Amino acid sequence: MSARPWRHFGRLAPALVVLVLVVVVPLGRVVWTSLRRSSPTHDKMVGFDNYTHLFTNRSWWLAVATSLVIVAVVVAVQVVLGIVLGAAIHRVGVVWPVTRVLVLLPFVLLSVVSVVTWRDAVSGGYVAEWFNIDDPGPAARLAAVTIGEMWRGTGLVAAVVALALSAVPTSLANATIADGATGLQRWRRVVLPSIAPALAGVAVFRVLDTYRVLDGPLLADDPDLATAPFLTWTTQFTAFEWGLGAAMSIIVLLVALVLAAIIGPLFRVRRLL
Amino acid sequence: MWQSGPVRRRGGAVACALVALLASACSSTGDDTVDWYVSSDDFGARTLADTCTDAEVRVHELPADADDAHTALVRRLTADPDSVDLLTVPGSAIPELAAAGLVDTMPDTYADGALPAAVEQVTHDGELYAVPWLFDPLLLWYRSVAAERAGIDVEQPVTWEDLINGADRLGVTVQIGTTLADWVTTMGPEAAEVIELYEDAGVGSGPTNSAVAGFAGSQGGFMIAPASSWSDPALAPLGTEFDVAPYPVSAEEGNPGEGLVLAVTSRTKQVTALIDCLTSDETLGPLVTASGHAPARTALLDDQELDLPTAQVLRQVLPTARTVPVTEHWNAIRRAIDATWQPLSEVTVDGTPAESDAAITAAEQGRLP
Amino acid sequence: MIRSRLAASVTSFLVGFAVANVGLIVVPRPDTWLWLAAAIVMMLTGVVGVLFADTRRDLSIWALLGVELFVFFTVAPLLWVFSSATGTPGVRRNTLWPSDADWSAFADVWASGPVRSSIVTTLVTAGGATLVAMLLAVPAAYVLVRRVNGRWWYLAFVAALVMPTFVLAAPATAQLHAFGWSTSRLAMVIPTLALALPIAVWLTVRIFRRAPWSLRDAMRADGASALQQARHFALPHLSLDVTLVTVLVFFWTAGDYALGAGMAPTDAQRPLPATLLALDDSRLVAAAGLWWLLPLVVLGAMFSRRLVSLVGRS
Repeated sequence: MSARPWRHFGRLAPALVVLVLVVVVPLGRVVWTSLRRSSPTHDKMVGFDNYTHLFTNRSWWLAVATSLVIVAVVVAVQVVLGIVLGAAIHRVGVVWPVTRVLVLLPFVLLSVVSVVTWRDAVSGGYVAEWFNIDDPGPAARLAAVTIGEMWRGTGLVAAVVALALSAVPTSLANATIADGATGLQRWRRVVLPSIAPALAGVAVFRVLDTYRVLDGPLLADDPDLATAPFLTWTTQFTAFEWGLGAAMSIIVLLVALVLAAIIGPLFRVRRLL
Repeated sequence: MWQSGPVRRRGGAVACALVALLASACSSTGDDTVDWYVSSDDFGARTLADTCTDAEVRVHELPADADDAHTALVRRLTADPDSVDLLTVPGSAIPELAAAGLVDTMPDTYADGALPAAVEQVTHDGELYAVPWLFDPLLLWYRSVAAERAGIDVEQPVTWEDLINGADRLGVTVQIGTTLADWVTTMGPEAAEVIELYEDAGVGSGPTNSAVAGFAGSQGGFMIAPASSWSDPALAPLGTEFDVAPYPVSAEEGNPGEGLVLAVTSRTKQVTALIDCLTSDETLGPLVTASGHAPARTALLDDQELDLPTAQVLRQVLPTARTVPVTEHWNAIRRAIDATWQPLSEVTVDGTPAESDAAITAAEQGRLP
Repeated sequence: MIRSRLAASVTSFLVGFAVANVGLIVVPRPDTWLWLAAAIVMMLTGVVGVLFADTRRDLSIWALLGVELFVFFTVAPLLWVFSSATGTPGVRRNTLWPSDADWSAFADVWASGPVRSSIVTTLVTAGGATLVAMLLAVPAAYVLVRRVNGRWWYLAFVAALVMPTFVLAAPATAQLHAFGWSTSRLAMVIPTLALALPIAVWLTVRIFRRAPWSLRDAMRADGASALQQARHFALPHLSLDVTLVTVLVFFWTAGDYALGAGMAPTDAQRPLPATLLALDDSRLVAAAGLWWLLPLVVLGAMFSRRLVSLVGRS
């Protein structure tokens, strides 16, 4: 590291400036808009009215709760399945390019295509045929796209786990075998803690990625089981209530911040593993 | 325009090609072409455009779903107003567009002779923001045999109870050929009662797009639909076995209806000339007979040479017609009604009106229900 | 070890048997064959496991079963995408197995006006944003990796990477409108940078961390000019990774639904994801998805090791 790091800022500055310009400035605008009633026919300052309305509004908190429940279920399944599958892939040593590509395919598939095809699977597609689902309502469609989101992310977690497992020092693992630890104990005491950092990283990513998903709920179009992003989007782009939508956006961001702050450390706590 | 750094050689050629594609891909609204956006083209916009003017007219139809159409319209008008020259939309859309400054004012002379309800829809802050062109009252359609056997006297005002009970006795359906929000609003305070009765009697599946087909079908008996359904080809099998009567009575006076208006984003000579032609008697006469819409300038209906079978009923109901509430929040209110009055089977007299009122108040304030 | 293998084999066999039953009784043809194939694989695994239960080789039947389940779990929905894409035009596909495959969708998707127009939009906005983002990211990543203790600056980019970007759609639209650029696809590149720049920086930092900088330091110490350094260090050691990252950044940016959907003033100017979501024809959507996957699969096959190491943590 150079003793005078500020000299080199010149190369970093443009990227930072652009980042501020395209992320921070619009967010500032969102905060400003959230203090107004802004729509095609209104534009006046209303202070914190939008926020007080949201804080006391049942449908908003229901939407936030729906989002959080979906995130919790999806990520829990993804992490568990991802660990199991990642361990399996690692153990079998099947590391041909095929597996490496296959494991990431669900994630690199265009998410809109994933959402549409999963919805179709339940709405008159193969799942409907197999299990005789005649008239899937919006709730079934939402379940389908949620499972689709779960499918997308599991491969990513599995890939991260498989890679992290290959980095676990074998000497450590062997030492515990010598000590007479069973497979499960070995896993709990040695392996999982070693892959915890990697797992934490991908878990935080998946939590926030699932939380922000919009195309799925938009396609499922279930007004009774709205998610926070869905409600924020329809408020801004169907009802054109930009002020209220901005306030919703701020709350969505704050919840995301809280999620990020909680999930990371969660995976580093040994007791839980 | 931002300046980029040195463009990679590979990307340069691609960028040039893209810019060329871009230039050609952008919809060019040349000065001479008129872009006419229509909310639902059941009156032959293309033919009208061809007969009225030599200039090139591009007719665009907005999405069929009311929400999608509203969204597409507002987004286009806000972001790219130059791409819209002439608009044909329901009158209920005008208050919002006028308040948002998305449509231009029109001289007051265009309201001359038009029925009061239609003029009220397009007037905002004392100015005229669209030209009342056509008007579509909601009428009670009945199959002659069904009305007789159900004991309904169509010469007198019909009540909803008589209608539904009569249809129930006969085992025929009462089709609702209008949207849920329109239906609920037009029935006024009795809406919940009527819907409960409707659902209990099981005389139909509520508001639907295939109302006319159902009316013409084997179980058809009655239908609530706009006058313009006259031109619907699905009615052909019925021949002359059906007729129209005024809308069933409700607490509010006047026959409900919806105006179809002409609005502009900018009042240019070219588009004004087109409007003048479209609202002229020579154009309106054939248009009214062909489409079944009534003219907003009711004097035309008195023309004895007008070959419109529904003319008599139209003459009767139009002078005192009413529309949905004239408010800039109509779209939000419509969504609130759709949310609280569905599914129809769960509508109750005790709960639903209160829920609906609360949702409507929230919608007017731009809030969540 | 033996007990574990036997347990796994028995489980595998029983699950396979159950799958076979479900396939025969519940599932309609022709998908029955798929269920039976899966069942046979699992039952065979069980048999192999019993036969080789006492081998000294490093064979884990549980892991084998896990890999099989992983393959079924990953491949089935992908097969459904293919099946959807090869359905008869106008007819809803309802079998997983692509019987009577109709390949016209793959051409039809390019023939569709709205899809073509949205591809142009995506190329301009996401492509433009990718180019600018990489131009900004490469020098920034260099500094973050080599010069400055960039942990906090780096965190800024990572935060932007995982934030709910759809909240930027409305202010971006309003800002474009304020400048009168509502219909300019080139102007839409600027807000799209919010998607491209964070991922570009993140990925470039990852590849720069692995790069053999000591080689370059040695070259510089030996007095090599900037051009020589570029030819002999950057080109062989960095160019491939940077190109791969550029492709990934493009696909990441182009795959976003919200920002483009929000900024587009009309349906015709939406990027690809928004157009596909609104398209009523699942056949075309599935075909588009497979075209989308094609370059990624090819790259993945050619450079699987490199690409996967970008994802995993060292």
